[in-house]
Amino acid sequence: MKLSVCLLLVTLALCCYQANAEVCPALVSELLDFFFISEPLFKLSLAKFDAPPEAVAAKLGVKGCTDQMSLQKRGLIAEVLVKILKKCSV
Amino acid sequence: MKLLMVLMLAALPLHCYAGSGCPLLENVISKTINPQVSKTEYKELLQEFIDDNATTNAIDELKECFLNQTDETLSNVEVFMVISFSSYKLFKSPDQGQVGSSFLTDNAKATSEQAFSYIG
Repeated sequence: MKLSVCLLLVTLALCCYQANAEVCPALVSELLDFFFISEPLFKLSLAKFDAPPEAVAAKLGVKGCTDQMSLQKRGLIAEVLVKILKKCSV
Repeated sequence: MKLLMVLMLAALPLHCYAGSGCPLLENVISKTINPQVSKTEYKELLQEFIDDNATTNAIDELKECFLNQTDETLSNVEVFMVISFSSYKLFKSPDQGQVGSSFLTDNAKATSEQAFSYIG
Protein backbone atom coordinates (compact mmCIF):
# COMPACT_ATOMS: atom_id res chain seq x y z
CA MET A 1 0.00 0.00 0.00
CA LYS A 2 2.84 2.38 0.88
CA LEU A 3 4.48 1.52 -2.42
CA SER A 4 1.33 2.36 -4.38
CA VAL A 5 1.06 5.76 -2.64
CA CYS A 6 4.73 6.45 -3.47
CA LEU A 7 4.16 5.48 -7.10
CA LEU A 8 1.10 7.71 -7.24
CA LEU A 9 3.07 10.68 -5.91
CA VAL A 10 5.87 10.10 -8.42
CA THR A 11 3.30 9.85 -11.23
CA LEU A 12 1.70 13.08 -10.01
CA ALA A 13 5.05 14.90 -10.06
CA LEU A 14 5.94 13.65 -13.55
CA CYS A 15 2.48 14.35 -14.89
CA CYS A 16 2.44 17.92 -13.60
CA TYR A 17 5.95 18.56 -14.86
CA GLN A 18 4.79 17.53 -18.34
CA ALA A 19 1.60 19.57 -18.12
CA ASN A 20 3.51 22.72 -17.24
CA ALA A 21 6.09 22.31 -19.98
CA GLU A 22 4.03 24.22 -22.53
CA VAL A 23 2.01 27.40 -22.23
CA CYS A 24 -1.69 27.12 -23.06
CA PRO A 25 -2.02 28.41 -26.65
CA ALA A 26 -5.59 29.65 -26.13
CA LEU A 27 -4.45 31.82 -23.25
CA VAL A 28 -1.51 33.24 -25.23
CA SER A 29 -3.88 34.05 -28.08
CA GLU A 30 -6.39 35.69 -25.73
CA LEU A 31 -3.68 37.84 -24.10
CA LEU A 32 -2.33 39.10 -27.43
CA ASP A 33 -5.83 39.57 -28.88
CA PHE A 34 -6.74 41.67 -25.82
CA PHE A 35 -4.19 44.28 -26.87
CA PHE A 36 -4.33 44.15 -30.64
CA ILE A 37 -7.71 43.24 -32.13
CA SER A 38 -10.92 45.26 -32.33
CA GLU A 39 -13.64 44.85 -29.70
CA PRO A 40 -16.15 42.97 -31.93
CA LEU A 41 -13.47 40.48 -33.02
CA PHE A 42 -12.21 40.09 -29.47
CA LYS A 43 -15.74 39.39 -28.23
CA LEU A 44 -16.00 36.70 -30.88
CA SER A 45 -12.67 35.17 -29.86
CA LEU A 46 -13.82 35.01 -26.21
CA ALA A 47 -16.77 32.79 -27.16
CA LYS A 48 -14.52 29.69 -27.08
CA PHE A 49 -14.15 30.04 -23.30
CA ASP A 50 -17.93 29.87 -22.77
CA ALA A 51 -17.65 32.41 -19.92
CA PRO A 52 -20.63 34.09 -18.19
CA PRO A 53 -21.83 37.28 -19.97
CA GLU A 54 -20.84 39.49 -17.02
CA ALA A 55 -17.27 38.13 -17.15
CA VAL A 56 -17.08 38.86 -20.89
CA ALA A 57 -18.52 42.36 -20.31
CA ALA A 58 -15.93 43.02 -17.59
CA LYS A 59 -13.11 41.93 -19.88
CA LEU A 60 -14.43 44.18 -22.66
CA GLY A 61 -14.74 47.04 -20.17
CA VAL A 62 -11.04 46.85 -19.33
CA LYS A 63 -10.20 46.47 -23.02
CA GLY A 64 -12.03 49.76 -23.61
CA CYS A 65 -9.41 51.39 -21.40
CA THR A 66 -6.34 49.63 -22.84
CA ASP A 67 -7.54 50.45 -26.38
CA GLN A 68 -7.00 54.12 -25.50
CA MET A 69 -3.28 53.41 -25.11
CA SER A 70 -1.07 54.03 -28.12
CA LEU A 71 -0.24 51.04 -30.30
CA GLN A 72 3.43 51.53 -29.41
CA LYS A 73 2.69 51.21 -25.67
CA ARG A 74 0.58 48.12 -26.23
CA GLY A 75 3.46 46.69 -28.25
CA LEU A 76 5.82 47.26 -25.31
CA ILE A 77 3.40 45.44 -22.98
CA ALA A 78 3.21 42.56 -25.46
CA GLU A 79 7.03 42.40 -25.44
CA VAL A 80 6.97 42.04 -21.64
CA LEU A 81 4.41 39.22 -21.95
CA VAL A 82 6.57 37.50 -24.55
CA LYS A 83 9.59 37.68 -22.21
CA ILE A 84 7.49 36.09 -19.44
CA LEU A 85 6.35 33.35 -21.82
CA LYS A 86 9.94 32.74 -22.94
CA LYS A 87 10.96 32.30 -19.32
CA CYS A 88 8.19 29.71 -18.89
CA SER A 89 9.10 27.87 -22.08
CA VAL A 90 12.72 27.29 -21.01
CA MET B 1 -6.39 4.57 3.06
CA LYS B 2 -8.51 3.42 0.13
CA LEU B 3 -10.48 6.66 0.30
CA LEU B 4 -7.22 8.63 0.20
CA MET B 5 -6.18 6.72 -2.93
CA VAL B 6 -9.53 7.39 -4.61
CA LEU B 7 -9.34 11.11 -3.77
CA MET B 8 -5.77 11.39 -5.04
CA LEU B 9 -6.60 9.58 -8.26
CA ALA B 10 -9.61 11.84 -8.76
CA ALA B 11 -7.48 14.93 -8.15
CA LEU B 12 -4.74 13.81 -10.55
CA PRO B 13 -6.29 14.85 -13.89
CA LEU B 14 -7.70 18.07 -12.42
CA HIS B 15 -4.44 19.07 -10.80
CA CYS B 16 -2.29 18.31 -13.81
CA TYR B 17 -4.34 19.53 -16.72
CA ALA B 18 -5.86 22.73 -15.41
CA GLY B 19 -3.69 25.83 -15.46
CA SER B 20 -1.99 28.00 -18.03
CA GLY B 21 1.23 25.99 -18.05
CA CYS B 22 3.06 29.09 -16.79
CA PRO B 23 2.75 29.88 -13.07
CA LEU B 24 4.76 33.09 -13.51
CA LEU B 25 2.27 34.35 -16.10
CA GLU B 26 -0.64 33.44 -13.81
CA ASN B 27 1.01 35.39 -10.99
CA VAL B 28 1.57 38.46 -13.20
CA ILE B 29 -2.04 38.39 -14.44
CA SER B 30 -3.31 37.99 -10.89
CA LYS B 31 -1.25 40.99 -9.73
CA THR B 32 -2.44 43.01 -12.73
CA ILE B 33 -6.07 42.47 -11.75
CA ASN B 34 -5.61 42.80 -7.98
CA PRO B 35 -6.51 46.37 -6.86
CA GLN B 36 -4.51 45.87 -3.64
CA VAL B 37 -1.30 45.74 -5.68
CA SER B 38 0.08 49.25 -6.20
CA LYS B 39 1.80 50.49 -9.35
CA THR B 40 5.13 50.44 -7.48
CA GLU B 41 4.71 46.79 -6.38
CA TYR B 42 3.59 45.87 -9.87
CA LYS B 43 6.66 47.45 -11.48
CA GLU B 44 8.91 45.67 -8.97
CA LEU B 45 7.34 42.35 -9.95
CA LEU B 46 8.03 43.02 -13.64
CA GLN B 47 11.40 44.73 -13.14
CA GLU B 48 13.47 41.99 -14.80
CA PHE B 49 11.31 42.25 -17.94
CA ILE B 50 11.43 46.06 -18.22
CA ASP B 51 14.24 47.52 -20.33
CA ASP B 52 13.46 51.24 -20.51
CA ASN B 53 11.30 54.15 -19.34
CA ALA B 54 8.88 53.75 -22.24
CA THR B 55 8.07 50.20 -21.08
CA THR B 56 7.76 51.41 -17.47
CA ASN B 57 5.23 54.04 -18.58
CA ALA B 58 3.28 51.46 -20.60
CA ILE B 59 3.17 49.12 -17.58
CA ASP B 60 2.01 52.03 -15.41
CA GLU B 61 -0.79 52.83 -17.84
CA LEU B 62 -1.87 49.20 -18.01
CA LYS B 63 -2.08 48.95 -14.22
CA GLU B 64 -3.96 52.27 -14.13
CA CYS B 65 -6.63 50.79 -16.42
CA PHE B 66 -7.26 48.02 -13.90
CA LEU B 67 -7.11 50.34 -10.87
CA ASN B 68 -9.80 52.51 -12.47
CA GLN B 69 -12.29 49.61 -12.64
CA THR B 70 -14.92 48.84 -10.01
CA ASP B 71 -14.41 45.90 -7.63
CA GLU B 72 -17.29 44.10 -9.33
CA THR B 73 -15.67 44.45 -12.76
CA LEU B 74 -12.33 43.21 -11.43
CA SER B 75 -13.89 40.19 -9.74
CA ASN B 76 -15.62 39.35 -13.04
CA VAL B 77 -12.31 39.70 -14.91
CA GLU B 78 -10.84 37.32 -12.34
CA VAL B 79 -13.66 34.85 -13.04
CA PHE B 80 -12.76 35.07 -16.71
CA MET B 81 -9.08 34.39 -16.05
CA VAL B 82 -9.93 31.32 -13.94
CA ILE B 83 -11.98 30.02 -16.89
CA SER B 84 -9.10 30.80 -19.28
CA PHE B 85 -6.58 28.93 -17.13
CA SER B 86 -8.92 25.98 -16.68
CA SER B 87 -9.57 25.79 -20.41
CA TYR B 88 -6.08 24.31 -20.88
CA LYS B 89 -7.54 20.88 -20.25
CA LEU B 90 -9.85 21.37 -23.25
CA PHE B 91 -6.89 21.84 -25.53
CA LYS B 92 -4.54 19.16 -24.29
CA SER B 93 -4.99 15.50 -23.53
CA PRO B 94 -2.58 13.57 -21.24
CA ASP B 95 -0.35 12.58 -24.16
CA GLN B 96 -0.14 16.28 -25.14
CA GLY B 97 -2.38 15.62 -28.15
CA GLN B 98 -5.29 17.94 -28.83
CA VAL B 99 -8.84 17.08 -27.91
CA GLY B 100 -12.24 18.71 -28.23
CA SER B 101 -14.19 19.95 -31.21
CA SER B 102 -12.48 20.71 -34.51
CA PHE B 103 -13.07 24.42 -33.89
CA LEU B 104 -11.19 24.23 -30.60
CA THR B 105 -8.34 22.12 -31.91
CA ASP B 106 -7.91 24.09 -35.14
CA ASN B 107 -7.98 27.32 -33.19
CA ALA B 108 -5.45 26.00 -30.69
CA LYS B 109 -3.09 24.94 -33.49
CA ALA B 110 -3.35 28.30 -35.22
CA THR B 111 -2.83 30.35 -32.08
CA SER B 112 0.04 28.15 -30.94
CA GLU B 113 1.89 28.61 -34.23
CA GLN B 114 1.14 32.33 -34.32
CA ALA B 115 2.18 32.97 -30.72
CA PHE B 116 5.29 30.85 -30.68
CA SER B 117 6.56 32.16 -34.01
CA TYR B 118 6.21 35.60 -32.42
CA ILE B 119 8.15 34.42 -29.35
CA GLY B 120 10.86 32.44 -31.11
